[in-house]
Amino acid sequence: MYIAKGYFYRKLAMRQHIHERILLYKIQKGDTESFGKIYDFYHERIYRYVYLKLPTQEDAEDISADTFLRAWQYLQEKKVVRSLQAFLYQIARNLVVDFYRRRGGKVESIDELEIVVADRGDLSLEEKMMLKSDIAQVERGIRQLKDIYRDVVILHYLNDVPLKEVARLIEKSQGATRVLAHRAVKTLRDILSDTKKA
Amino acid sequence: MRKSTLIKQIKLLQTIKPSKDWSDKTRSILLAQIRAQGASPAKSANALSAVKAYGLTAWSDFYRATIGVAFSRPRNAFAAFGILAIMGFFAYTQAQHSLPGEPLYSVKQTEETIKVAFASPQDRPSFELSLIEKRIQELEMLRGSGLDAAAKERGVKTLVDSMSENLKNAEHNLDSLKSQEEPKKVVHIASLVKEKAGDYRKALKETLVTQSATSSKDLLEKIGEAVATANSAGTHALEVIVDKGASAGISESEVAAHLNASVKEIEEDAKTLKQTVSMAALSSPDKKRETLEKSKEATKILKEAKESIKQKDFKVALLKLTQGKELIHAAQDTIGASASSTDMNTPTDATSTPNTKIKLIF
Repeated sequence: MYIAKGYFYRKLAMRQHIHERILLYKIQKGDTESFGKIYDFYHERIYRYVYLKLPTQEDAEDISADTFLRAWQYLQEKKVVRSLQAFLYQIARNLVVDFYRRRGGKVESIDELEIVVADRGDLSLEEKMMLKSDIAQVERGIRQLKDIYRDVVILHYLNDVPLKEVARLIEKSQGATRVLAHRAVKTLRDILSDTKKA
Repeated sequence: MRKSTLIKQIKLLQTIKPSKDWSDKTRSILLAQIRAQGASPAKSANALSAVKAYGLTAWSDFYRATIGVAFSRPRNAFAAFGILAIMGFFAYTQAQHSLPGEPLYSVKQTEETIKVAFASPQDRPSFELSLIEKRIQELEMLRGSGLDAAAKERGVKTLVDSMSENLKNAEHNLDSLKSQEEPKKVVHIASLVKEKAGDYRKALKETLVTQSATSSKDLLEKIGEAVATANSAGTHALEVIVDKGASAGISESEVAAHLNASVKEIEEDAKTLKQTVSMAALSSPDKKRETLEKSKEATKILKEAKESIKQKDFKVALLKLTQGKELIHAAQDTIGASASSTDMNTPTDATSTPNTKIKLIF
């Protein structure tokens, strides 16, 4: 059953890969509609990634938009892009680094959580409150992680990026990345359990 | 807290999304900005890249619509396999009428190869011989087809190669069965081999006659070799019939009939050779004389072979028959060698004599 499931997921991944190669080819020829499709697929992931690394929602929105604009410009220079996903995350990561270089310091913010939970019409008020509380807790925990741990947690556990690609993004070997992932989760667990005790 | 629980909690953060309003506005602004920078709908640098892009897109769409769907949803796999089975069956039935050079011909060849591989050693010779029958029919169809000369020649070459191989395989199988199987079965297969070798020879002769004007030297030489293969297989089969006829319970008249048929074939070759020599303007009268002498000698030996058959001395008849054949071949070599070195006129009546510009093959 697992073998069949794995086979199907690999087939889906292959389909996605072929689709992306075609889109990349078209984008490099100047096709804006294809770029629009890329945006549709990736913008939520990129937003989530930068949101958990930046102080405010506005900052996350600005960096997300900038990521796609930079991606377009880079692709028009006909440079080789092997993985679109990794390419977009790399740009986003670099923009976040630039952001902190310019501004310096971090500001915690949880006001945006209202927007997130308000969309969940299937939950009761109490459930929404609990969800809000859980999300806030995990978010705070993630924000307390050191940068490289945070990257691994957001990319791999939250955004389902394969470890192989995460390794490429953070410029580490796969083995080292696996170890980092394990340590990140352990650290987060310790943070969350300390928070509970407190 | 367990790792799995923690990961579930991390996954809760997947609810973090930008507002739809922001997403839509950003998309519009982004696309407007990049259009303003000079981008446009897909433009291809040249026709080739456009075709490539289209081909890639078409393949992707096809894959997603068919194979991709089948493999992503197991219940559709049955439908997909069903469709493939129907397509396969259709291809198979169409392939049965295909000729060399057509796309489905390879399907036919593959099917035959598989059948041969799975045939038992006892059935293999008759199966190989049935393939020769098929190839002869294809040769006839090819001759009557509307294909251009080059395509016909390619098709003929393929068929000749295939038939020669089938005949050699049948001959080889006959050899291996000789010691294992009962004489009756062996003689029966030998008769089939002899019959098919004769049919093959006849088909080659007809092909030569109808295509000699347009055929290349390459093809004519190939046909010559094929005839030699047919002759050799026929002689071999005849040897088996004569050798095992008595123990197989074959009547003497039947054996005699086989031998007489072979004698008749060689006599016809001798006749053809005489006609050719008399018409050809050979540069060397000596060669001409030599050829005619060999032909005369062969005719004499064949008369002796007939006598031996009448006297039911089949082994002696077979020996003389073989000698006569060798003399004819030697005479053909002589005239072929001298004919190829001179400028010859192609006979006007293509039905009477083969092209003498190359080594004679009949």
